[in-house]
Amino acid sequence: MATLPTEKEVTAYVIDTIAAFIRRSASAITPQMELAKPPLKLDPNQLTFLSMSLRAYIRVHNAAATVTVSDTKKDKQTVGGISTVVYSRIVERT
Amino acid sequence: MRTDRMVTPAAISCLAAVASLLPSLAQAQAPSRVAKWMGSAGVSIRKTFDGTKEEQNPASIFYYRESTGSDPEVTAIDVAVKFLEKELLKQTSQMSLIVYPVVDYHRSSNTTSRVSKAGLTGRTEFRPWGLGTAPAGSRALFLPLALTVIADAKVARDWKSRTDETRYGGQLFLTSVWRGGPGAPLRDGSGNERFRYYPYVGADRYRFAGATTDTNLTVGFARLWADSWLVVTDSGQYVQLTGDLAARHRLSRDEGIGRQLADAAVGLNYYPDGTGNFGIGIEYANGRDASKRFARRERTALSFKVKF
Repeated sequence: MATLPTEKEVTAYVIDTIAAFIRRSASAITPQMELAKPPLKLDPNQLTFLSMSLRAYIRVHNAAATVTVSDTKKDKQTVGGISTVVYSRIVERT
Repeated sequence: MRTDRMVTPAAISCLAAVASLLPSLAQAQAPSRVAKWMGSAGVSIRKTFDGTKEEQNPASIFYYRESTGSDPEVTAIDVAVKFLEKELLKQTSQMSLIVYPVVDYHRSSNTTSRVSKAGLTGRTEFRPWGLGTAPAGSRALFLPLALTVIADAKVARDWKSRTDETRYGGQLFLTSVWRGGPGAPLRDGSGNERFRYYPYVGADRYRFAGATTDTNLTVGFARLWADSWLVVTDSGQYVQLTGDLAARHRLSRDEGIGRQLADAAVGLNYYPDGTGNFGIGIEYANGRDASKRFARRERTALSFKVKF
């Protein structure tokens, strides 16, 4: 099992994944931005794929944990908010 | 082919009054609480959730009644509500399977095809692999081009024509992270999203049950949906242009419905608050309307838009 990431590393992974989906530089994405609102504007399809990416990331560190589309599609969900969810799921075993 | 305009002078006045209220309505606290509740309940409102990517189109509502007029009711309502979205396979790293019901209602006072139709759909979305790059250490399959497969079954009732309809079908579309690829937004020099499209293919099997006869129909289709944001800032999107082109081909034997059932629709929507929840828009559609038994129609409609 890989070494547990820090919360900062988790946030960086989330931002990099979103940046790839929306074709925007990671430096333009901040934790305060909402996933489904401009400027990110992830549509429901992309939010589902985001949940899949985050699930695979979580399970590298904690095979018993997961994240679902309800986490990424939650109203007013932000980059920071979903990063916190991912980090909390990873460290659940400890 | 008759062209109908759902835009009488009185109706325009009605819409103008509603449009003047949109900015304050969008800023009101009540819609934010509604949106929060809907998010927690997994509720979404669109024009339709038939997988045509019109799920990015807002629901449109226009109802005007003047009992003394020659045409007492002018109506164009297209609304669909998705709720209780449930994810299965949530312990797997690679695949995604989501199921949910959709309730929709369509009403039109178009004199050539009056419709008052409600439907209930059960739908599944399946994604067999992830999009982009797999995280380091994961053996799950991730590709820069990913597939989504939608399968659904629907029952509907049209109270105007007194017919029942059942439909089941499947379709698939691709999403990519490549520049210019399906689902990947194209951005301007300031980084604002300007354009996105999704192409997809599929087939549907219909059964239309009338008072005396039943009609069975299988239709294959290829479709292209796209939207472009004409007025956009870093914090809001205000003016949206949408397009939906469908090439449909009847695959079953002749049932009194033509073999080519193409349809096209373009719309222009304005969202005063930039979030896309409330707006006003105009739509032009020409072709065969799948929601009305592929009846031919040409329609221009000005209406109030809602999307959550």
